[in-house]
Amino acid sequence: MNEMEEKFGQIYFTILGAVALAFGAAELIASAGGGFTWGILDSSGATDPLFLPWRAIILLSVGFFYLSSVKDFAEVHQLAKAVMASIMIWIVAGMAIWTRIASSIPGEETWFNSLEGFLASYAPPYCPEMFLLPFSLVIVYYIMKEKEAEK
Amino acid sequence: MRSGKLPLKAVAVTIMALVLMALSTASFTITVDAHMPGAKAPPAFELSPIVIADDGTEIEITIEDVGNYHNERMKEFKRDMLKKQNKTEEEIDKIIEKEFAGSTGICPCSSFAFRAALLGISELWGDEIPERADIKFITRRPTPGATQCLQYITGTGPGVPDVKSKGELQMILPDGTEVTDLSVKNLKKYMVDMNLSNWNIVIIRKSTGDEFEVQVKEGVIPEGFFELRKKVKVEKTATPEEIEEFRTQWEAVRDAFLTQPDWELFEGVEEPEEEEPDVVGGAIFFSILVIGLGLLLVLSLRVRVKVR
Repeated sequence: MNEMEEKFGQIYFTILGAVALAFGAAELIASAGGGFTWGILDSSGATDPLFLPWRAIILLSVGFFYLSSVKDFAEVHQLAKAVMASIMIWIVAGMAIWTRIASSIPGEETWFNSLEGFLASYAPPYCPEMFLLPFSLVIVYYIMKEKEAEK
Repeated sequence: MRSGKLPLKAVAVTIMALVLMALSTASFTITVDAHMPGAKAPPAFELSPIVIADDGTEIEITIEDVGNYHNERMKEFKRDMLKKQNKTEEEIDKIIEKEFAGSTGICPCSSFAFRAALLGISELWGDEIPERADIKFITRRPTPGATQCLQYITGTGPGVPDVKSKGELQMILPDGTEVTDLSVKNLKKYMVDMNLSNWNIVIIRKSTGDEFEVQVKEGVIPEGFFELRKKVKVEKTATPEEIEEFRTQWEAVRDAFLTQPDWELFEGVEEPEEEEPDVVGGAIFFSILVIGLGLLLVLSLRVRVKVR
């Protein structure tokens, strides 16, 4: 990892960590107040209200891990923190995506959903982890860089 | 002692007595307005309960609770009526058992009042749970079914269980007459001529003074219902065909209040717009998901090939 890449990683994961922290704080407030839906962002916990506070704790941890990893980002232990934060996002977002996939196939009163119903089940709003998911994939680039450096 | 042949006079008197008894039993059956002998059971329906707080204790009132209360009150009224006719307890029990067999107490009036109260409370309190003492109803419908339903909700009726605080129930008929004695006996005086304006209840949130009027829409009550009701219930001049027709209409009105949505039953209630499913948004996300998973698959395969 060159200096330029390290600098970019530091700035990028600082922003991502701050966003994750903000989302976590919002979810924590939402879980205390019964949840909210704002545009395409869903913190209502409608599908699983008991998981909402856990999601908030996970997001806050993600934010802390990203932010604590930015100092001396090229160092492998620091990078591991960012990797761990990304994995946490992947697990929660993966669960949310899997829930959508599983519920999109059966219809309400039939074995299989209609095409319209199938596509509509992927419509917004989405949980914060699903918004963070594509941005967290940047860590894969750094993992590969680290692997190359090892060779 | 003579045996075998009965005197003709005695036979005639016995037959006459039996006919009179049968007629009197039939007339008792008709006088209990809340019930429609021979009416079919209502269809399957789903009505949410009315949730109120009574001195801080949350209470759920279902239409079945209201029906049972109405049934019990009508049985009591019938019992008193029969006692005045010098019937024995055994005879009274038999008549009541026969007349109320299969009756749920869920009639057009009790179901109308229940739906009106449910709608009014949700309009005035929204998601809040109203305190019983904060609820006031002004009813224009002087029937036992509607009155006893509202008495049950406000806790103002005799024998309503677990009442700590009371709401308010006022009966003001469409012509402005205020009825203060809400006993079944007294209500019967006002049930002679009724029309659509009697299918009206005003719900009031006493603490704020806000009120909501529930008026049944024209068309919910079938044409000729009021005339038939008068013939069957009041004048008792209806032919068996007319009684049968009234029974069918009675069932239709009751079933409408149990199964139809508010905007089809009441004036001024707008049908909520059905949200169109966001197919485009879903399709965009699904495409991104498929492309993302495809890229992930390609990437992992390339890594494997490189490793080999």
